[in-house]
Amino acid sequence: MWAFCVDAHPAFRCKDCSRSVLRPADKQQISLALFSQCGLLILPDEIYLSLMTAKRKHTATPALMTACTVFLLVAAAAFSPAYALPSAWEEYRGWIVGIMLGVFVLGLLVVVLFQRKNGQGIEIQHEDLERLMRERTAELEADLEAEIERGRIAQEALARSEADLKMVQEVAVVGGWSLDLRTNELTWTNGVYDVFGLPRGTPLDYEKFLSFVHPDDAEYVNESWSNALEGAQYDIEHRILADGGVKWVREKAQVEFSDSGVPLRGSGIVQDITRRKQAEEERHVLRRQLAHVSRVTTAGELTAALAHEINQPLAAILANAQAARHILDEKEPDMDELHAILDDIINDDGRAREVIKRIRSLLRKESANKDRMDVNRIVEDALRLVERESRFRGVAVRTELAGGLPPVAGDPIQVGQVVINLLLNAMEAIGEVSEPPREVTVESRMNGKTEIVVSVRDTGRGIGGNAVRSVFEPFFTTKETGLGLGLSISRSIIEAHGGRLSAADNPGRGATFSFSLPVMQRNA
Amino acid sequence: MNDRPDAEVLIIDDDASMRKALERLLQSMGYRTRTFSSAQEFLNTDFPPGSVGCIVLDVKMPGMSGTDLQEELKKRDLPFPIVFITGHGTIPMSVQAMKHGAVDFLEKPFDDHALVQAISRAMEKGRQAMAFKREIRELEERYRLLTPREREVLALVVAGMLNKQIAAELGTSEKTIKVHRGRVMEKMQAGSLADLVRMAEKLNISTS
Repeated sequence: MWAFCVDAHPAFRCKDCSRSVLRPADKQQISLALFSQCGLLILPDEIYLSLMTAKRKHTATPALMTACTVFLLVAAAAFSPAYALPSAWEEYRGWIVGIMLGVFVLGLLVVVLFQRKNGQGIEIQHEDLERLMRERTAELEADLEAEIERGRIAQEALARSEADLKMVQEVAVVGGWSLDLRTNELTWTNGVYDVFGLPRGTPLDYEKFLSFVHPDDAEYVNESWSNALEGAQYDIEHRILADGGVKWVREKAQVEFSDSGVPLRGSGIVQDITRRKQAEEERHVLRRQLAHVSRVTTAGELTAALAHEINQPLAAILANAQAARHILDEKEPDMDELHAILDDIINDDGRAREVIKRIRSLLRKESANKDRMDVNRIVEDALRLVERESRFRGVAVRTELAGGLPPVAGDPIQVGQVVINLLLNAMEAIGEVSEPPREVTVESRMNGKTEIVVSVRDTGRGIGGNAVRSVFEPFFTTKETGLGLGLSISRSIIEAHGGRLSAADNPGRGATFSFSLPVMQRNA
Repeated sequence: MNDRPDAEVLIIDDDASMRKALERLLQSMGYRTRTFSSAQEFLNTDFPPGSVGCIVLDVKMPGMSGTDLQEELKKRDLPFPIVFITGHGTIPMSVQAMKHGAVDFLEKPFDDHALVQAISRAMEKGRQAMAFKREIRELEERYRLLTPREREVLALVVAGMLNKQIAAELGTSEKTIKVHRGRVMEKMQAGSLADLVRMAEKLNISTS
């Protein structure tokens, strides 16, 4: 009867075809379980829903089967006298059976009511669900439209920004590239093709790119890129061979790595910086020329004294040699005199050579060396070179050189030139003043522990308030024959050595020019 | 080779080596020499009047330069002819020196022949200057013998005036002028009027 009930029960029949969804073996079990359909009431929602799903799909789920079996076992335990209840409960067996029957009847009523209500409930639920679906669909459609709108706006913005980027790239002569490191496929924007002077769309790979790099830079580029693939910064400037000429480009790139650290893709920009480089190079050449001009100018100012110094021994040599010839023409040449003459000739030759050596070192064109130099020695060498000049001008030169100064790093020729320049300026300034004292004082001393200061103090007419600011400007001069480059070049020389050159009027008379040079680091 | 036994070459150069070499060279060629290490030292030396000789002078020296010395000698009326030598000469410098009467301007190093030629020229010029100076001195002495009246007559005679005109000018007789004129010719030891005019020129007596 339960089997029939189960079989006939609409809960186990398909809603559409009314076929039973249960296998015969299941029917037997479930019919037992359906003693109390109220069991369904206490089934959790999900089992109930599974049941509903099973009904639709003509299948019953294992969960449902298990639930029914459990109920069956409980019911059987209650009804069968064969099952022994705990002795304390035995006398209430009749009550228990009664209650179970009551529950059963109640369960039937409830199932009937539930079934009816449930049918309605499902309908309502379906409707709710459908309404919900419609609402949700509408919402989603609205969202989708909004999304599409946003996409369109983004697209437009992207197009605009791409146009902007293109313009920027064209103006800055810059292009972008991307290199797939797994396929070695190199992609260039048109900008890069233009920079390299290649037809747009030419297929490329890394090696092809390298073939355009200037041979002298190829190794550097390759090495930089290898380092970038290991995580280093890639921001380099190098030359390329393009359009039958040499161009300068700046490249900056980033490499994407996989989680395991394998480089996947490199992307970056290329900028044509040929014009900037040319300007830099021109500036560099100009600066070098200017430095040379100043050196030559300084030399030119010294030429009078130096030429005199060279011609002096030369003239003495010639006169001595001619005197020797006349002596030899005599009947009894004075051999002692001839010996003395030859000794003098040899001495004068040494003098001339010394002068030439000094000029040569002054005119040397090489760029700054970083030698260890002794500041006092530079000052003393410079003083020897201008010694004659100071005698002519009747200027006394005093020195106050501190002993035991540490070495400084730099080019002794250049720094010597600065000292000479300052000394000549000082003497020239004194030349315009007649009353004594006419003296130049050169001082060297430590300033703190890190720098040495050299100052040249004169008793000339001073610089004068406003001019103190402009004396270092190029082409500023108070001399009729001056180029106005000496101090400006001197300052750049000192600054190139990491020091400062400054000027000030003395409290009393004259001016003081001082420069500082950093003391050489011990480990340098 | 020596121009004159009492003629000396005076070498002024601050460079000891150059000084010595010049001294040797000139001595080997038979000149008598004296050396000075500065212009000041030279000026401090007393030269007997009528000394002859020439100066070989370095232009660029500390203290008083060669050109300064040249000016100073001119001021002091010491007629030494000067041969300048220079280690590094400029054109303006040489022009100035020559204008002020330098005989030559040699740039170091110089050839001994060039030096000898320059010194010979200088000596010759020195002799001429000396002779001229002596002549002037003699003429001045003669001129000093003239009375004020005779000097007036001399000036008017060399101006080309006739005795008659001179007499009218001075308010006296032609005969008196004739006597004055004879005395002037005699005291000045002039052989002719032309002679007298030349002497007056040398003495810088106005002929206008």
